[in-house]
Amino acid sequence: MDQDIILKAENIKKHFTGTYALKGVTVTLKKGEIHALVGENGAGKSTLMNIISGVFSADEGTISLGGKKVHFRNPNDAQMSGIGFVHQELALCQDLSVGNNIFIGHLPTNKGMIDNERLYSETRKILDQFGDSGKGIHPTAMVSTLSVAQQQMVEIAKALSSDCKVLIFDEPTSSLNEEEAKSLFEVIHELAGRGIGIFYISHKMDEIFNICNSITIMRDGSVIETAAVKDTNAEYVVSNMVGKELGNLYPEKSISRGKEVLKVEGLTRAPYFENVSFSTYQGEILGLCGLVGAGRTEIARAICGIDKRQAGEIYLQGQKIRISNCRDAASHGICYLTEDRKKDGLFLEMSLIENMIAPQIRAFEEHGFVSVKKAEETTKQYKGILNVKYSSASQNIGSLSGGNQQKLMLAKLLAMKPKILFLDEPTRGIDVGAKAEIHQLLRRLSDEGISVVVISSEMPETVGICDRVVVVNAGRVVGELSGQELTQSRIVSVISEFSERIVSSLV
Amino acid sequence: MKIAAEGQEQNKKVSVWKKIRSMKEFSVLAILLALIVFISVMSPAFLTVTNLRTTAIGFSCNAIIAIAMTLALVSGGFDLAVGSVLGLSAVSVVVMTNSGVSIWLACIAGILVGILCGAINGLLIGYLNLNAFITTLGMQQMARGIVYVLTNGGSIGLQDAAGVEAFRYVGSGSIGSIPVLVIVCLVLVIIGDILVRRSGAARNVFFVGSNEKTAMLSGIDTKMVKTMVYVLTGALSGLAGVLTASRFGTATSSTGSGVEMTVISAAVIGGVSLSGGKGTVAGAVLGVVMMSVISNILVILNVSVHWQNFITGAILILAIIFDVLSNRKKN
Repeated sequence: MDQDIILKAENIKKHFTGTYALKGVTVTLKKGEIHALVGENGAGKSTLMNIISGVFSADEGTISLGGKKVHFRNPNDAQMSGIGFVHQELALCQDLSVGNNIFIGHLPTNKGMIDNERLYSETRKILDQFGDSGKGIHPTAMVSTLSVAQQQMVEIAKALSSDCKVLIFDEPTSSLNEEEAKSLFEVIHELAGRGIGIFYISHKMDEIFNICNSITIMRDGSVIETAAVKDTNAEYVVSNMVGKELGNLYPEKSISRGKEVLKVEGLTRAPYFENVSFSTYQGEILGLCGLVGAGRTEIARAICGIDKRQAGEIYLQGQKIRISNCRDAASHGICYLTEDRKKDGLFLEMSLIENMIAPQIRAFEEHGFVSVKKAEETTKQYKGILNVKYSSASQNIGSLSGGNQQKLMLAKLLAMKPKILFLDEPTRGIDVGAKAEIHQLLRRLSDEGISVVVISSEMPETVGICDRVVVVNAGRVVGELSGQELTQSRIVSVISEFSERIVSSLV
Repeated sequence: MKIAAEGQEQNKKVSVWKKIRSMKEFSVLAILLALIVFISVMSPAFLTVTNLRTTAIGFSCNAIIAIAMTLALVSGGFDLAVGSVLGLSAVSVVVMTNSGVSIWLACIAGILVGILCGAINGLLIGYLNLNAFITTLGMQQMARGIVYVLTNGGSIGLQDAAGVEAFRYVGSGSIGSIPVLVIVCLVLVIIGDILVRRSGAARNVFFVGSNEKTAMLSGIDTKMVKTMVYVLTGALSGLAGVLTASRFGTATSSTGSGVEMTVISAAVIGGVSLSGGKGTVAGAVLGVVMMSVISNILVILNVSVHWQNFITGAILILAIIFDVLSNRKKN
């Protein structure tokens, strides 16, 4: 039995600036096994895989490969020892040929000169292992001319270019269409058949139940359970993933709702979501709910004009409106609060005032000049409303705490007098106190007549603050829950019912 | 199986031609030939031995620097100091020889001066991660400053000493009717082109310029690669300086000024990408040749010298527009 174990990571611990990302995790991988790793964002899956593949080093714990203890200093070390990693975001050199990319770091050379003949014949050999999906790829083709699916094959080939024993896939199907995903699964099966052990990170239950043998559920940096896929089911997995933390205090829910504000019909942006329809109402907080990658953020971004949509109509108070970019959306009072505060939300190196005026500099102009006084007044006004703590409006926004940054990001949008607010992870990365304050604020905004739409990966939060949720899975609306029905377990069962339906249709 | 192989063979033939046509060098070469035909028809003055010799000598030093500049651009950076370093090297050779140092030692010192400047640039850019624009701009000013100090703002002639005559032969002599300088340049360009195309070390520069993070994760020493790129631009600028001193027998305070812009523009015209990862020495050198043929044409057609800057600039912008548009079509 132990003969079959190819990789064992034992008691792995890792912490980043004060918080434990992994609290002593143990996983084993057998030869030819396809092992799913599931968990919500921040559960520690990626950190664990990054440690196994040499990107990070563990604070504690050991990794043994084929029975021998190993210690990787960098990803190249790991790859040379036989651990390949196919990242979610493809990391290829676009301007170089397929062969060069596959053999990066260990090009075949002869007296310092690259042996092109060997390079391209070896490349051909590796690509031929993929059957039809590999045949279409020319070793000398520029990577930039390949499709995403083909580029992924190149990534896999890169891992196979050195004697590969373990292959890690991080959400490999997130940018593939169904057919491409199918041929990827064939390749994965074929590799597993050859004895390569495979870790498969995914949020898509249907895929996991379709192709994996065993599954490890992670939450908050620990392994909750490892089981054989045939002994478990989607509902069980999902409920273990999200956990059952309850007991937070949420504001009271609204009893009645007002007029319809926003209505979307048949919204489509392949491959992210398809035929999405729902409405929002005055005085109601709506939740867009689903697992990570279900298409929640993408739907919100498309409505707010950030991403282009392929089809679908948007109505505001019964009137059809045209939104082709964020400026259009903003002019109709539709605003989006980003989930990534640092990257997309704020100018961290600039002052509070500069951040406040950025979305609507015109509104703060007087005779063609930006009126600092006006900006300061507005900032002060929201300081009071949102209970933001700062010493001076001219200090860098990056020097504030996460909670205060989040509040100011919200203030920036509120200053635009929105009718509809899409809030993506409105309480991500902030402490409990600030969280509760933001929850209260959202209720107040909703009472004042703003239509609020919340996207949250924390299911207790969704259940706690929303009056109604639209459940999304795999880019489709799969259910709607409100009132007494709006509970965590109902959401979980709606999601898993849908996944099981897909699984059974695939088998 | 056999049929498939034959099909592949045919495919190969078609794709080789397609590939040649799709190469940036091909379009530069085509434009260059068109220009030569045009000017030969317009005036008999172009296709004369004297004119061709002068033009070739004129671009030789720029072409040598273009070899290294190609790699600097491919790595995702560039070197604005090459012109000043060329000047500093030329002045060093003259000053050292005049003060009694052997001419050949002075030549080595000239190249070492270039390597030193390049190494400073490289270490700052590679290891301290400084911006290439600012770092090499600073080095440009510093090198030029020393040139001014050494020449006192004027020019210094190379005084006669042992070996000076032989030294001058490299820059101003000929074998048959071909100038030695042009032969030196041609040899270096051919070696440079092959090395950049085929050597493992140069390929690492492409990886770094195309995707630095991936290169690093694949075990390539990206800091070292970046440093060595600037050591090379420095070394070849130093060599170009030595050859310039040999060609003119003097060094002035303005020797080499503006070379960086000519070479970078030429490289971009020749298909080297400013964002890194793409380019060949052949393309960059063809760009250099084209730029100097164009200024030669302007001289022959009696266009005022003052218009030359304007026209070079316009060509550069057109080249970039063409590049962006053809990339857009591909995507």
